[in-house]
Amino acid sequence: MDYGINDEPRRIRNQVQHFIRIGRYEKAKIISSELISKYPEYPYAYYDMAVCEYYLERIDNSIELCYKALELGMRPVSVSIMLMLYYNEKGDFINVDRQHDLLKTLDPNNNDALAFYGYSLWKRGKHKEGIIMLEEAFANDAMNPHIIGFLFAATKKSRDNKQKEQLLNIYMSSSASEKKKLIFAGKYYIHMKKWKEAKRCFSGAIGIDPMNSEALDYMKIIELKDNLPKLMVVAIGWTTAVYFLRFDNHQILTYGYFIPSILMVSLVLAVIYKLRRL
Amino acid sequence: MDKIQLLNKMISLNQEDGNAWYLLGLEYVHDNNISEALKAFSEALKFCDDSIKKEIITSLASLSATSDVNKSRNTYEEVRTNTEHGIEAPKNEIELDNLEETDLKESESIKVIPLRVIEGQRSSKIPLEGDTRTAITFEDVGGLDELKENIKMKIIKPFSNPGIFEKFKKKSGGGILLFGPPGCGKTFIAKATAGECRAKFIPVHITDILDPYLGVSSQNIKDIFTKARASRPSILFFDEIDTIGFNRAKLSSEHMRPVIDQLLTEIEGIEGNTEKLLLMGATNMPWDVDPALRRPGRFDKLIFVMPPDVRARKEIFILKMKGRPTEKIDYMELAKRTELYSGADIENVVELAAENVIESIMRTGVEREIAMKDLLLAIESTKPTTIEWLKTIEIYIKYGNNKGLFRDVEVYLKKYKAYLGGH
Repeated sequence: MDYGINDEPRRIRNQVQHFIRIGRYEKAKIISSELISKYPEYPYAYYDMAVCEYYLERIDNSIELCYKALELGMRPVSVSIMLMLYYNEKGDFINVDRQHDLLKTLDPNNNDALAFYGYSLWKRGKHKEGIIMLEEAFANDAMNPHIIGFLFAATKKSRDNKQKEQLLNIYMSSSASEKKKLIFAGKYYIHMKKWKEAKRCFSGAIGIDPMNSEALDYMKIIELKDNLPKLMVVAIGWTTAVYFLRFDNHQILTYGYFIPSILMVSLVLAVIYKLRRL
Repeated sequence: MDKIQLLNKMISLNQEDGNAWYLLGLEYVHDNNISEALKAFSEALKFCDDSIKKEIITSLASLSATSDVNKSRNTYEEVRTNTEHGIEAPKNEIELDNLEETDLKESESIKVIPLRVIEGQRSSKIPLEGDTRTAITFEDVGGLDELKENIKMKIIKPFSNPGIFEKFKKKSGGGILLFGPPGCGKTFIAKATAGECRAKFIPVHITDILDPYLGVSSQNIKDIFTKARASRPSILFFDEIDTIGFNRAKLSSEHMRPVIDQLLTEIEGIEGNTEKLLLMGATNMPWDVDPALRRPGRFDKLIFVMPPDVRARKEIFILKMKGRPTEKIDYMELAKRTELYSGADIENVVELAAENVIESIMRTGVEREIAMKDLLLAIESTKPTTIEWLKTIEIYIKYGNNKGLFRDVEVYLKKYKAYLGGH
């Protein structure tokens, strides 16, 4: 029955949200732009488009679209959280603080915002303040996978392995997707230097999503690390061969046998650096 | 006064009482008077409101499936048999439509209203309106002989000759999943398959299913299957099935769970009633399809739609160049130089060559035709887009727990290893 309510924008938006949820941002963006051209006063269309632009790594467009959504009457809480995320990505911390202050007045109990701001502070070197906020958010909503993720990242450097294990267990029973759980577990095992388990987790994640660049990067590093001993043997063999095969007059490749060793040491250092940054 | 008389009296007082027509239809069903029941339901559909529309459609569908649809199917089978015996057969869609109209006239003489007429009243959300038996066949698909043979063995023969499968107690139903890089003609091949099976082709897209209101998406799936069952022989084709049956292991939200569950329930329903109803799906991203959908009895037959082979590429070049001013072109040479190019890639090459020629005409003022060298230049400046896809599926095969499932792809990857940059 027709009650005179036009629910077409809502129907189209439902499609946009579906494509965003399944990670098809290009497709979602196309439908969003059609929605905007058909209903230019519909704020949610701009908001959804901002989300797509963010995932397509066009942060400035996202920010602009968020303000447009606000201008057209979109709920400020959701937009402020997104803006905080986008400004943080840009490294514009003044605006991150501004959005956080705004959110404190609009929705003081928003744990996602609190955790995100805590993590942002921690990343900026304000470790103590950051951790306090993250722990507060975690105390309020312990099963939120985003909060657990931020808290885990912030506590990685602490020596409290028991806390990390607890976080892993909680994350595994949260509502996060199977793929995210595997990546989280993989990161945990890397941190605990359990390479075999980490490899198993990332391999599982890639098995679910072969296009996941995060899991693929971790996998490459682990495989490179696994292959280091083999490379070492090759480097030593190469060094020895060059040493014995050098010319008698010592003019060519006098110190040439150092080259493989230097290359090998550089590679090892690069892998160690990468592993420490994971 | 019995119920039928009472309802007839109510209708004579108000001809537009949809509820009365519906109840009358139910009474006729109860009395096994199918033709009168169909007539009453079709009247009910004309005058009903949305609240009972779905029930009427469901009743109609179940009626049609058991009575008049079988009749028209028999007529259709007769025509097919005649065709096989050399009697003139319908060659295209229009003729097939005429054929159905003939059925309609025959039906009128026995007062049976065919479903096609009634369907005019159904909800526009369900994509069955106007779908006719497709006129595209494998003759329209250039090259890809291996793939066509594979489809014939896996789909067309079991669909057309279910008897032999029954004899050996082998299930001939289930679903077929076409997968491959984008732009390689999966949808076209599905249509051609329907044409070969002489079945109605019913395409379903995510937009036909999604609805923001609670429970409506699942209901839409149910309606699609009900109607497909009622219009057998038919092929229900799920385009971009990964967007409908998205891998739940990748989803944090549960928003698609009821839809996937309903889809699985309906597919299971098909398994018990496979005759003349085939499920086909197509996807560019087989890794995004929920593994539950690939279990036996569901979309368990996977067919790899590879990038066009050299013969197919030649055909595509000829097709795309048709109507454009050209010098003498060696199409086979072009086909040989475009290994791994998809149909869309070839179209891009032709467009690029045409653009370059137009630009040169604008610059020099001298009109000329598209020459071989323009096309070769365009080929040199492009790369096949299928490579990325092939690299991704290679990773998926390596890490995904699906040993043996993608054997065709593994063979293909081995063949084209050199193009994949040592992967």
